[in-house]
Amino acid sequence: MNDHHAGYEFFEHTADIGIRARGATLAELLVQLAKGLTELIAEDSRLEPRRNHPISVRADGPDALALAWLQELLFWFSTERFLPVEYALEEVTETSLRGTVRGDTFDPSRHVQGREVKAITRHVLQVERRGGAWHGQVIVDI
Amino acid sequence: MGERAWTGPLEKVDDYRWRIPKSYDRGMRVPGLVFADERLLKDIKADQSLQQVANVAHLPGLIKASMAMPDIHWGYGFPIGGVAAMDVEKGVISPGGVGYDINCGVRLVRTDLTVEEVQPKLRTLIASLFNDIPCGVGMSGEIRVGRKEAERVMTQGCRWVIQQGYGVADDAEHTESHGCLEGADPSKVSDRALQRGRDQLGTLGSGNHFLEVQAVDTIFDEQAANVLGLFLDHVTVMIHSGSRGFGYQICDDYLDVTGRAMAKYGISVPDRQLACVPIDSEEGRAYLGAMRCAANYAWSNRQCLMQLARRTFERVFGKSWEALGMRLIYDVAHNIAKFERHRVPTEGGSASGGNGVEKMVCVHRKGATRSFPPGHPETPEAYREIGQPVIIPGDMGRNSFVLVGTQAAMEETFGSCCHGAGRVMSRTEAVRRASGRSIEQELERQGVIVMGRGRKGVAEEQPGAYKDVNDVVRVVHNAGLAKRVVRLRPLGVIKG
Repeated sequence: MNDHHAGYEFFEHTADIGIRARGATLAELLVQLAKGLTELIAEDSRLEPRRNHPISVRADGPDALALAWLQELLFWFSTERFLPVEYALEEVTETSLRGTVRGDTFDPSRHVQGREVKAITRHVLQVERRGGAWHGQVIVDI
Repeated sequence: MGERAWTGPLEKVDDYRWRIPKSYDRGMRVPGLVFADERLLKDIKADQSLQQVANVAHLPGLIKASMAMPDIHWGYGFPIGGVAAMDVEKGVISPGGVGYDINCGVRLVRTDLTVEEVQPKLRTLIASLFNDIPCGVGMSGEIRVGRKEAERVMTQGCRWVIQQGYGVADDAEHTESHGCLEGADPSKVSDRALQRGRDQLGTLGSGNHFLEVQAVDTIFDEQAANVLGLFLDHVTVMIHSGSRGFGYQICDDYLDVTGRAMAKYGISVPDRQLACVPIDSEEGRAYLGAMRCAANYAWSNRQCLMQLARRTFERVFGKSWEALGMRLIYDVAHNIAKFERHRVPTEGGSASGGNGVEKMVCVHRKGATRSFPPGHPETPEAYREIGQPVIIPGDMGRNSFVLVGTQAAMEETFGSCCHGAGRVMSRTEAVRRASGRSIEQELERQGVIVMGRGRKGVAEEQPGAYKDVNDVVRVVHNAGLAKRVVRLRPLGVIKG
């Protein structure tokens, strides 16, 4: 991770963009991946935690959990223009996640337009515990 | 860059054809066949796309070969620029073989306007299009699609939006499959997809989607160009978009469904994004029913976008779009799976031999365009003598092409050819290379006005990020997969 993006960075794919993140805990990793996704959509827009979105996701394992989590955030953006700012994840296991996300409503007249993320792909999706930290990577379709 | 260059075998068949032998990987059921010349091959070999061609060859029921067009680049599971035709009884259907943007495609509208007439108003025209056509991140369209309307879009395709005042019946005649696939099943579409599609009809999107005002730059085949109504220095409008959030969500939903169901059918694949199920299975039928809904949504979307563009032209030039001669030349899908009749080799027969039987196959075109020959019943009446128009967009600084389909494509590639220039540079690399430069100003100096909403959108889509479409089109033309008719050059582009 470089200095500019504590906890996450982007990596290259010919047509799209990958997010690689690290966290001391799985919850922290998931937040870092979400921050990467938000930056892809809205760059460095000034976003305020204006409203709450409760979240509850279940999956078969850490990979699928990260996928489901990011898919849920992308769905909120696609349908409500919601972008996360603060994360209160109360319960995170390797197969489930529950909590509240606080965020803003994207407004093209106030915010910076980044990229339209079509989907979170499974192509090189990987979430694992390595050397005492959680590492994750995912490619998003642009 | 997380990419591994190709080190596997690649046998030269001729100047434009290369084979990945079945022996490369035990799981390959058929060889890989790549259409490219030596120059394009250099870039193709630099990423994982050839490995992906080989991976696709693992899929059950694949006929002849896992094929790749010269614009091939690294995708997910399937390479972008791939063609995979499946036996309908023994074969599989794969949402990844169609892609997230179901029925992403291109349409081309002609006009009677000449470059000379448009040039003085070009800036106003591009600015008006940019203002009138919703594009970019998080933009809504003017058409809201509730459940009842969505049902009509899903099952009737562009016919329904035409009835709502977006265009005329003749437009549907000049659209692949008349802008509507039969067999769309709205009951197989999730609520999430409907919600994502609710306000996106008539929106361009972002990424590589665009609307471009162009000029006919070179004519290769005058007779065919006349039939299409394309003349030197006349202005055209090209629209590149797809099924928006609606289609992305359907793909995502069915990657899950097919991924989970594979084990039940004893299918294993080398990449999760290749998830597939038998065509003739509950999950296969469900995906096809939903995919067709998204295909119909995409045709409706491009139909709406075209009509919005026609209205802008009317205002800027003070004449009706009919008086401006703004007829739709054709609309092609380049991310789709279709059931088509093709001649296939008999069991144990040679792939290229003339013998074989005609039968129904399911053709996955993932970043590939249909290229049907003259006389084919699906080629529109007006084009029956020249073949189906094949519309190939390039990058925004160079060219785009109109070609026509050929019998050779029918025999060799299930009536398919390339779909565009194909990316060669990653988005992050493109942004790095644009640092300290203004791609907009550079293009303007070349005579192309570009307006984009995203901060990095134009940089990521800069001409240098793509292969030269001239090289790609030369290969499909020389290989006989389509025949060049005209070349277009950009005058102005709007991007999301």
